[in-house]
Amino acid sequence: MNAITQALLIGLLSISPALASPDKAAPAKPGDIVVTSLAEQEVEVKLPDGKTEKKRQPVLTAIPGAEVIYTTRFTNRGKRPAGNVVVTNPVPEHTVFVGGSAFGENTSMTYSLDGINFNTPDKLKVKTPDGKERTALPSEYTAIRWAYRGELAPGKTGEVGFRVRIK
Amino acid sequence: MPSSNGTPSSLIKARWISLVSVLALMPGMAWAALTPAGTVISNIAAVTYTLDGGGPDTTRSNEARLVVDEIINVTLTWQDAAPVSVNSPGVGDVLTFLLTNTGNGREGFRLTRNNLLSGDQYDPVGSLIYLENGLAPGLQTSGPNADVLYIAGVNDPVLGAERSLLVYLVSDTPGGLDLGAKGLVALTAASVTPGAAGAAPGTALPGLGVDGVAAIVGNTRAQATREGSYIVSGLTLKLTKTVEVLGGGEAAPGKTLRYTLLVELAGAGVVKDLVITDPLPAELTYLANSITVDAASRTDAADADNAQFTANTLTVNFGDTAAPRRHVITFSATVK
Repeated sequence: MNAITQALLIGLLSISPALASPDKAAPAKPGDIVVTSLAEQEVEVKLPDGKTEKKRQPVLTAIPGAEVIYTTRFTNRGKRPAGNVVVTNPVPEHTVFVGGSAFGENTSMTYSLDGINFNTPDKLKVKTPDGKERTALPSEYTAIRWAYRGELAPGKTGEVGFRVRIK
Repeated sequence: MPSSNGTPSSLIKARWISLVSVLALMPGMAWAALTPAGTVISNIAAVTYTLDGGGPDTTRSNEARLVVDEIINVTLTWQDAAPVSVNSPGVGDVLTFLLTNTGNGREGFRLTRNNLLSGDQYDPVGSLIYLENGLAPGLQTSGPNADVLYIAGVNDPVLGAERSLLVYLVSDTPGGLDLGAKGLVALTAASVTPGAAGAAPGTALPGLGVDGVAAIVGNTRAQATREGSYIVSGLTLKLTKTVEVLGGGEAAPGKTLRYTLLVELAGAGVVKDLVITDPLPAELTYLANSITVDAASRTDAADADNAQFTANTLTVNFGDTAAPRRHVITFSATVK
């Protein structure tokens, strides 16, 4: 199993018990929520008036040290409101989470060090070599979870995301 | 350690021994992990939800996929702690540099040297560049551990990401130079990827990176230049031994001979661990406690003072000695 698959599986396992059967992981069934994942980079573009503006554009290649913004969009294409909407996204291998970069309107965010247990930053602890505990650094997070508040009405779209830096 | 060989006069050249740093002894070491060029970075998000109070359902996103480009960066550092001491004229003096591929992909580098720099008093002579082969520390130009003679375009060093290689420049020194004259040599390493060396940081070279990914010129502009320097120190050690028969006449049995060793260190710089030794010939008997160094008496024992006579040999230890310096050693012996 390569590392990427492993990271993926961890990401999927982390959303259990939803993974009761494999077919439930199949994308875009009618009535389902449709999810897209987008990788973008922020670039500075010059405007006609000479000012510069930061603009996001999709990224297919990048160099070490580059910052990448991952955005997850989820839309309720069904006729019924969706409840208990939770988005889980692993911090990709070869990247480091940029502290404080997670965003998501109308969500509460938790983080994970193992892809299984999620908590608020103050409750994420790491054992130091001398046996003590310290609060985990954002760079140690391996996954992020957004719990959408209330129901996602039919036709509504939510958007969450975060930034990473390529190692 | 320079030492006399007991002959009436000898000329000993003292040389600096440059200490190669620990880092340089580990040419393969890496100190930061850059994501290798060509790596695929993948991201798939998952959403769980419930409908009408039923069990949770899950939907996965598409795969957001990006490929890591090759970034081309290189650094050179000059490894000698100080200007390398040379004599005028001098032959085969070595400057040591460490070449490091600070990019994230395997990259070849063209090496060039420039002897004609301004800001110095003379131009070192020579075109030789050697590449460390890892068999023995320091430069060996011959023998079983001989390092690799560099030929531009033929054996340009190819280094893996974050790998280093020691590079040696060998130069000769013209004659007639003043003590303290400095000679600069610059080494340049330039990426062999077409269009990379010297290009503005961020320049993209599609398809020219590892495995066909784009090569991106890093902030080093895919090239590095470092200067190293020589200094004419003219460090020479001259040892002159004279003998006088006390009371005059021929050196006949029973006569006492007084020897004088004149130690003259000329030039500039420091000689490490200067030790003078002089074994006594079998025809002579040493006269106990007859040693003087710079007109002060010394005991024969191996003790706190810097001279001793043991195992029928005179030894005087001057330690690290800055040039110019002059010492006079005397001792006496009788003819058997």
